[in-house]
Amino acid sequence: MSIKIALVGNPNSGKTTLFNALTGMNQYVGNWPGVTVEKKEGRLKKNEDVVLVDLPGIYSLSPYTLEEVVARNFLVEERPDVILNIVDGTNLERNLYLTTQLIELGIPVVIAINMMDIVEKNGDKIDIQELSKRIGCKIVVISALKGTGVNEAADIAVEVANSKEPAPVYNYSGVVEHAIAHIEEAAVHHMPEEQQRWYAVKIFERDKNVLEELNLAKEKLEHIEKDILLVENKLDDDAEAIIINERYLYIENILKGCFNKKSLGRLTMSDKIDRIVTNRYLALPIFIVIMFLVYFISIGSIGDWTVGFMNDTLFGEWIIPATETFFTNIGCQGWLVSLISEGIVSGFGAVLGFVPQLMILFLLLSILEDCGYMSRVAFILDRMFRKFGLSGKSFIPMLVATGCGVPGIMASRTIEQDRDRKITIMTTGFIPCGAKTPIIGLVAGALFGGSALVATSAYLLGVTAVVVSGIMLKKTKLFAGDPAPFVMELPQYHAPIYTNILRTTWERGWGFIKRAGSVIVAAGIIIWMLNHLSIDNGIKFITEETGGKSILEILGNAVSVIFRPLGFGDNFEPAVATILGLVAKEEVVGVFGTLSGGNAEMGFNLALNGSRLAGMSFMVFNLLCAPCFAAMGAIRREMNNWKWSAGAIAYMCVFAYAVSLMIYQFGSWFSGNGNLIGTIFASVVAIFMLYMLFRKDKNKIGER
Amino acid sequence: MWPTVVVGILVAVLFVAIIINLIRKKKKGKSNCSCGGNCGLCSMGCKSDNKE
Repeated sequence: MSIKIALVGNPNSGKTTLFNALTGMNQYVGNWPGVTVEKKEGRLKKNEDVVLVDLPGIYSLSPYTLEEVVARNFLVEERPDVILNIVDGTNLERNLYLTTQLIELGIPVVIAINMMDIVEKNGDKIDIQELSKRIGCKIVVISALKGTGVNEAADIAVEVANSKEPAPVYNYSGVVEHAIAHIEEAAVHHMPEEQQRWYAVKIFERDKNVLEELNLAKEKLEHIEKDILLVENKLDDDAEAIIINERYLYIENILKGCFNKKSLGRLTMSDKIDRIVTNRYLALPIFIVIMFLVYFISIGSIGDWTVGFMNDTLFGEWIIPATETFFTNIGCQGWLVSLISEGIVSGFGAVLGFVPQLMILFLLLSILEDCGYMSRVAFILDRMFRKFGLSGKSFIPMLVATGCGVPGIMASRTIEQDRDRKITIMTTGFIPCGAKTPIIGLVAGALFGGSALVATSAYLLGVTAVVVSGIMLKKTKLFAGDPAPFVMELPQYHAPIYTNILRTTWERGWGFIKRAGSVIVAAGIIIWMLNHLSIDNGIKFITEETGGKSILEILGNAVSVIFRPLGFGDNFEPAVATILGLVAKEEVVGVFGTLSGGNAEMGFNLALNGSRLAGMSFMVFNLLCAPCFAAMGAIRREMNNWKWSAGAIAYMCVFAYAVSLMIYQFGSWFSGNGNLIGTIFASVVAIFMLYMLFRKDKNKIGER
Repeated sequence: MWPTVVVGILVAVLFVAIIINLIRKKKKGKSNCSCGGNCGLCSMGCKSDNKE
């Protein structure tokens, strides 16, 4: 018979790292709280009969956010055979608060104290044996990162699961215990004995979910309410606060004598770093400098060199000519050689050329995430976001979205308030994801000599677009209201773990290559065909002799009119690239690769007549407009309403169009080539946006 | 003539295989996002892969 072990603990306590170590799976690990929002299952490497369930990190069993609901529902309804409670040794008191609640569930509990190396480094001491005796649970010391003690923890969990003995419950103070005993007797006596206490405590706390689930008779509820009120009057506090207080008193008592905190009041290395990194005045400049360095290395310097080598030498001089020679020599006809070299190899190569650049970018972002810096950025941006009515919670989805927009949009589930969640879903797509990075690289390489400033400005533009949208949307009735409070525990800094970093980098890069090998290749074939077929006097193949407009050109020209005010509507290629970018953002680069026979940068440069302004406008529009179909699907799933989904996508498109219009029209005006009508339109848009940004927030006043 | 036919068929097979694969993925509910349907990367989505 299989055994089910639930991994439960506070956010960022190391559950997923432990899960990966025990199952051999590769779940994403991040050094910030809230990485896991759904439960994940895997089988123990050593014993296939043991199923491990990685639950989202929670602070308590009082469900406030969606991931807390997921964890609590699993524990209460599915009742695993044993709970392996991961406790962060550096925050013992707060982590044990959850332990006290887990014990009440009546499920056997094993405690795994993680991060003991940091505890010891801080000079703190935990008497494990004594602590185990006082709590009544087996305790094992582990280092999930280094993999020490993890197998022992699993073995003990299996042993405890087989014994089926729940941990002994602890007693509250007299009056509280008296009331709970009354509730047990009156309301949950019919339940299995081991479950009675948890339900009774929850009824005492007036937990809405439990009261709904139990659906107690009115008289019974009134009777119980009298007991609760009696305790509340006696202790002069509300029931929930009384239980919280009781639990912390219990923790304080058990830790007396077996936990010696020498580092109390002393600044740790993380605290010292945070004094500078999260400083009120220095934080934002430091963040901008770091992001500039990241993009300078990945896109500007080393990255630019790798792209140059991949596109010009590897594909331009070696692979594409070799492909053409090979297929010509074996006797293939010219059109097929062209289809393979231009349609497949060039399009695929143009996208693949950006892989080294992307790998470097992913590697650097992974280092920042793993060492703990990125969670500080959420804290830094919360200060800024809050002024504009947004919550720092919105940054976590944005952080995830730097890899891929789909999980980024899904990460918005951690936001409790519906209106804040919707704003986050609508704006997360503004952050440049991995697939959009080649667009930035293309523009920077083709028109700006590979300048890192282009990439940095693209990233900052994404953040600015989020802030501006947040301000404008928050002032509308639909999204009015104060931002949700953002409480996030800042994890300790640690040296990046190379396995985590390499795994994340490789998987993100491999996902990109796989996509290039499927969607981009198929799209390349279609583009090539549309570019070589004409519908003048029936469908026919275009040759040098026949000439004529291709289907792609006709379609592209029809659409390009829309983009003429944005500066990239003179030729059909940018319009085609923008539309196909909806299938997959990598395809934007793929189109130029296919249409220019492999040299995407040259094709892009020609299509925009070498205009830097048009290039910037093109990049901004493609970064901010509707995301790819996969991300649109995620928006639809998360919004769970087609009107909201369509509204979100329409908003992104309109916003992107407005920003690009202003960039191109004002830029042209400043450079002396301005178009009067275009400038008037851009001015109207700018005035409207400024009005939306700075108008009085009537809803806020009304609320006050 | 024959090399063109053989290579042409291979290209057609490749194209059809990619399209079938994309449709199959879509039906399975796996999004074609940049995480490539890899749950290890995708911290929230792609749950269908988790029980492998």
